[in-house]
Amino acid sequence: MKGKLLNLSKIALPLVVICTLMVALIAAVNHFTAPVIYENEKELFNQSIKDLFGLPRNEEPTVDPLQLPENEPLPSGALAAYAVSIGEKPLGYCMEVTGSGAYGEDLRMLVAIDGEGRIIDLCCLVSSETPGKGDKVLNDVFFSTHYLGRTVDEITSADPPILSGSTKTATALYNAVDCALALYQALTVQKGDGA
Amino acid sequence: MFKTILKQFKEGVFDKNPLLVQILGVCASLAITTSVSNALYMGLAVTAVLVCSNLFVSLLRKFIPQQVRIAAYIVIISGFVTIVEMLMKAYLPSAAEKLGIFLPLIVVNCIILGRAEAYASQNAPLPSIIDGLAMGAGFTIALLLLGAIRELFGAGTLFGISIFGQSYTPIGILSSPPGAFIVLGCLIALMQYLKKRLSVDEQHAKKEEPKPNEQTKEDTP
Repeated sequence: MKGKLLNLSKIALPLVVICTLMVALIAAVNHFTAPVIYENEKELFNQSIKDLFGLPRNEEPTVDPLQLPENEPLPSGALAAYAVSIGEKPLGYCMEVTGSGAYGEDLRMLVAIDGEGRIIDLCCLVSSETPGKGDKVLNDVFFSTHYLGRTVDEITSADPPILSGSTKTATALYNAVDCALALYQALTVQKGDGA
Repeated sequence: MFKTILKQFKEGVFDKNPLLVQILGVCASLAITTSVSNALYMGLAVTAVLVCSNLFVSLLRKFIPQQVRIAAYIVIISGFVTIVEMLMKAYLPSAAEKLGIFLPLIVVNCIILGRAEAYASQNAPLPSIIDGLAMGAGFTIALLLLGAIRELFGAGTLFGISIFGQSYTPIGILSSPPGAFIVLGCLIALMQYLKKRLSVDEQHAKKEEPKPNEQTKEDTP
């Protein structure tokens, strides 16, 4: 018995040491790279908002986070909502949502909506779809323009457009748009007097 | 020393090229080489992981028990892939975005585990580092060739710059997986032809060399 334990420890101990070593190394690298990655994501987010509202690069919009409704259940996939403005002029709203049902992880998207509840534009922040396969939908002109100008009634009453070979990604995109519009509606109800 | 390094690089780039001779890491290679820039980023990422994992495996080769060596190598390789992924996301975010899911998939690239098992686990750290660089260089060159052909004839561009102009009709199949297989097959055939040709030339050269102790008729009394 003692011999068996000794043999087991001779095998397990090096593995434990190697795992500890690699974890320490990863933690050390993470300590330096995490702030840089965070700044990159923030920069991407800010640039995406400018692109969604068609703003030039040198113009900095004001992005105010909105309080999400607490008394009502939120649509599945809702992450955050922002009111976007330039000075005193409101430009619209930006919904940060996830689209479930993708081939890889959920799509993380930004959907810009104007004061009348119509989609201005949308973009994908994070996608793990297969390059050249699932991500065809995200780069396709038809899909990037199909939802523009539509309201929540027009989206929910229509069948989601599908691209052969990227069915799951197309469905996830539809779910993200649907979630963004549902979140907008929930915020509108909360506000009481409309957007 | 310099001759040994040169020999290792010749092996990595030509004699034992991981992609064109050993046919390792084919899946990621075919998927990512739709453009030269993607091929370059993938090649550099794989080289970095190869060098670091070879070094660590070599340093720990006397410490890792035989029974769990593969598990230990996988832990080391996956650790370095995670580190490379974090570094790329921080300092080369556009490259990390282009590689996408294929960056973490470097863990299952056979080249890295293969070299750890076949070379780094049996050699000292410095030769292991050079082996990692040599194999990485060979892999990167093969990827660049594949990516250049596919992007040039499949899209009419190189590094995103249009080469043939608006009038060029791209050969669409080269941008898709079947085209990737066809181009890879052609490159492998070309490599085999070159290797055979070089070995025939070497044999001819050896036959023509006079043996040192051979006496000629004029020399004999």
